[in-house]
Amino acid sequence: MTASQAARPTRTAPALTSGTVYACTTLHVPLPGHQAPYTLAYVDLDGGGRVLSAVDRPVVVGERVVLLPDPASPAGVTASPERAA
Amino acid sequence: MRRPVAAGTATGGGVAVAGTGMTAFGRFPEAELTDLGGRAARAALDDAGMSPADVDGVWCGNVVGGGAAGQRALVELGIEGVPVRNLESACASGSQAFAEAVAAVRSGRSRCALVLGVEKTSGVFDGVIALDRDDLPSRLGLSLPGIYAMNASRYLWQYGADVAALAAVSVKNRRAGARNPRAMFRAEVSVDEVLGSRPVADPFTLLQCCANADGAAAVVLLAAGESPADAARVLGCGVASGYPIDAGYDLTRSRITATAARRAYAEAGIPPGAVDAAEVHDAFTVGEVIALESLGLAEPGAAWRLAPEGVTSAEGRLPVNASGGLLARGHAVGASGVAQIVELSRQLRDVSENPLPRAGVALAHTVGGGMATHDGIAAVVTLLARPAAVPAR
Repeated sequence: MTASQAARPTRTAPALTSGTVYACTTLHVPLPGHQAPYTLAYVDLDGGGRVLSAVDRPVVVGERVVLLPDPASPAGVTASPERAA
Repeated sequence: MRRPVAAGTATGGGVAVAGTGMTAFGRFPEAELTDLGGRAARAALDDAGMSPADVDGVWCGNVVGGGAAGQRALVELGIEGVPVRNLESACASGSQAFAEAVAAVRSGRSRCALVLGVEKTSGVFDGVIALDRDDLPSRLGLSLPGIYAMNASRYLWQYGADVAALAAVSVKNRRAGARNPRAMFRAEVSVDEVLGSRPVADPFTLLQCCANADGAAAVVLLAAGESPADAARVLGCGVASGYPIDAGYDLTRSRITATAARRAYAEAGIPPGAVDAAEVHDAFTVGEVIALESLGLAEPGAAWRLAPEGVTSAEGRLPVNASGGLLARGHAVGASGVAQIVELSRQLRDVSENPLPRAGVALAHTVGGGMATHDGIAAVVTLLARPAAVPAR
């Protein structure tokens, strides 16, 4: 399964998915169409698989996150640290 | 290992880098791509003692020139009618052009091959490289620095390494660049200056990122028997395309690099332990660290200690990027792979401003990115040796 396939939301996916940050970065020089700073992370999902997702605030490797549905994101989800919940 | 070509043919003694040429790398907004390429090619031919009429095949690496870079660059030299292969594999373009040319000379298909890498990025790339793609990582805003930053975040976490160790790579390579007249950056920097430069993509600051450059590099390949006696010999090349970054992919390693390396070592018939010096793809500081482990030149989790401990400095046990690397030389994307070959060949002939008198076998490595869903689009590993260090078969 590729990262893009993994990140594609499916109708059968639960509304709330949890996982652990595998790798992450906060970008300070934006790509066109993005406003810096913004954070991206590879998240290893509890049920298996890995997704690349935007994160709503800076995180660290190993941190627990939840993936919230986000129709505005190309990934269909945005991650948020569990500590923020 | 058997030789690809039986002894007694033109290349029975192998392939050699008979001549090298290179412009300085830097920002040259007034310079034309054709002028940069033509100057490097002419210098390489002069160095090899060959004329443009001797060239019977051209391989050219270029990324943003808009096509036909090889033909355009060689008009002034009067190289006409010979096959020209323009090759684009992002940062590995020049390296892959070199590998293809080596294969052609080795097989006897080409007697005198000209390999050119040329890039004019001024006016094309003026910020971070945004891969012009519609894949998900690009749409989420993952830039090229961001891709390597992902590697760095995982590597530092997994091995308990400090970002100062990454900064030490930049300090080392900038120190080497200070001695290289072809380098874009000639000033030394400190760890504090590296870490204090402006943030790009955590944990990278600006001085942990290479700069896009303009420039060209060229080499002439001949059978070893037709080359100057001291010309660096090509022991082997390995080329690979990439793997998807899916669940389970280990971002502390570069699988594409490991595959290319395995092929290069097999063709050369030598183990990683035979390598005395290397030019590796330090587009970002962590790139050098991960490359060294993926090339088998350091144990997993051990390479981050090498720059701080001086092991990979020019005077160390395993000099890495002793020409300054991409971090100091600047990254003329399609030309960088050929520039590595130029620098190592000059070092192996003892004519370099950045001498490596104790190096017998040297390794060059590039990896080109271009699909953020994958660990690269192409990686190339080349093994060179001074004639006295060519292993007996």
